[in-house]
Amino acid sequence: MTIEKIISILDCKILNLDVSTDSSVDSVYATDLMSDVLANCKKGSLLLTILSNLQSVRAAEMTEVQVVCYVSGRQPKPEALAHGKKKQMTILTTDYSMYRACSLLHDAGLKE
Amino acid sequence: MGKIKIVDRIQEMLYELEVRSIMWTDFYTLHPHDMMSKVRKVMQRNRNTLVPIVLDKKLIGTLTIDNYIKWLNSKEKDKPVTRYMNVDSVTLHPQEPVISALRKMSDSKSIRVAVVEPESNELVGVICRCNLFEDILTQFDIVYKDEQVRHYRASHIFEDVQADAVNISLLFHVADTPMEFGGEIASSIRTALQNLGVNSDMIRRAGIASYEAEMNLLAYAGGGEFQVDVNPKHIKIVISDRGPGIPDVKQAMEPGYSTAPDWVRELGFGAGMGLNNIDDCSDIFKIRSEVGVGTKLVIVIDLEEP
Ligand SMILES: Nc1ncnc2c1ncn2[C@@H]1O[C@H](COP(=O)(O)OP(=O)(O)OP(=O)(O)O)[C@@H](O)[C@H]1O
Ligand SMILES: [Mg+2]
Repeated sequence: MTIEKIISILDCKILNLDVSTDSSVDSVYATDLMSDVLANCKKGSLLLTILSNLQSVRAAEMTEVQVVCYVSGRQPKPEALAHGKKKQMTILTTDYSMYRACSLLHDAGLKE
Repeated sequence: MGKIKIVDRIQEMLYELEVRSIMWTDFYTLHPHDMMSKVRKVMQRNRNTLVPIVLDKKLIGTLTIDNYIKWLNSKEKDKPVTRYMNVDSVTLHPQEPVISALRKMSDSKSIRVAVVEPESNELVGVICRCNLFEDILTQFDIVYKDEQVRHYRASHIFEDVQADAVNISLLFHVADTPMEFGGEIASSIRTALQNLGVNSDMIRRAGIASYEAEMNLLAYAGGGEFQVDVNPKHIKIVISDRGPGIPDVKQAMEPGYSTAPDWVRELGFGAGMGLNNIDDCSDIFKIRSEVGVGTKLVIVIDLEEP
């Protein structure tokens, strides 16, 4: 699914975007536990999380995730956004809750 | 995402590419006292582009084929080049991006342009729109080959070193920083392995294992040490701390077992999965711990098929 489509489905605000919105993710993983990201999030996924500290971006970095979207209107902490920019990640926020965001992406055909 | 990376790189190169890297520096000039009858020969030597008229290294005008034809048509007898040269044609600076040069040339409809130093007006080169594409492509090719060479060096670092055995040893000290800001060592280890040209799947495994271990050092042990050894056969990471130790290692290794206090859980940790993740990422994983002394993890990730 292209980043553009994710942005339109989740009505995202874009906090950082270094790649073209035509680029895409193969899958999605949703969690607030970092060890869960590390164990189960595939490389190249979209990560949905409510956890807004630096570790949300560190876990993405380690699993080679390039697109992170914070749910429930959560804003990443400044150090998290700064590190995401440094690692050229796409950082998004959505006002939808985790449940709503997951169901919308699921209905649009994005798989875990 | 591979294709996007390439397009980005070409765009970047176009903006980075300066006029000086594609201009011709090997050409003939004429002196203001030279006569029009000399122009044809010099023009030919300059591959039919333009003939700069230069006094004390400074550009004072340019002659193109059009000027020459004009003189021929006038059927005048020989005249100094200054009578036919252009004095107000567009010039470029060597530091200018090629992109802006292209724009200037198309705006002014000039095909051949002299390149001069900004202040002194000293002539340093010539650019011709007809060969521009070829010259840009040649330059891209050079940049690309340079990158290839660098990449080659990185991924063959072990082959390039002549020795019976090569082992690269990295030592990291994990200070007792707030857990919220941790993860820097795992990040550094990833970068180091990338620079050594290690296979990307192995980098991912080493990064995840290091990160889990680093976060445990910050959550439970007040910091510690990482010793990373890389050789053609494997990556070996030894993590040691002088923290409180683990009373029952078998229990700690059970998925879901965690003693993480609330402040650790608030940061997104405490699922009791960290040690299991490390184990899953390793080909060999050993853990030794003694209460009151500390904990030591040994992680080995094979780089060669055993
Ligand atoms: N270096 C250490 N020093 C002391 N105790 C440790 C150390 N590492 C782990 N432990 C103990 O082992 C338990 C299990 O660790 P593990 O990393 O598997 O899970 P966790 O840290 O509790 O949660 P998670 O890693 O999933 O966020 C910890 O809760 C802690 O009690
Ligand atoms: Mg842990």
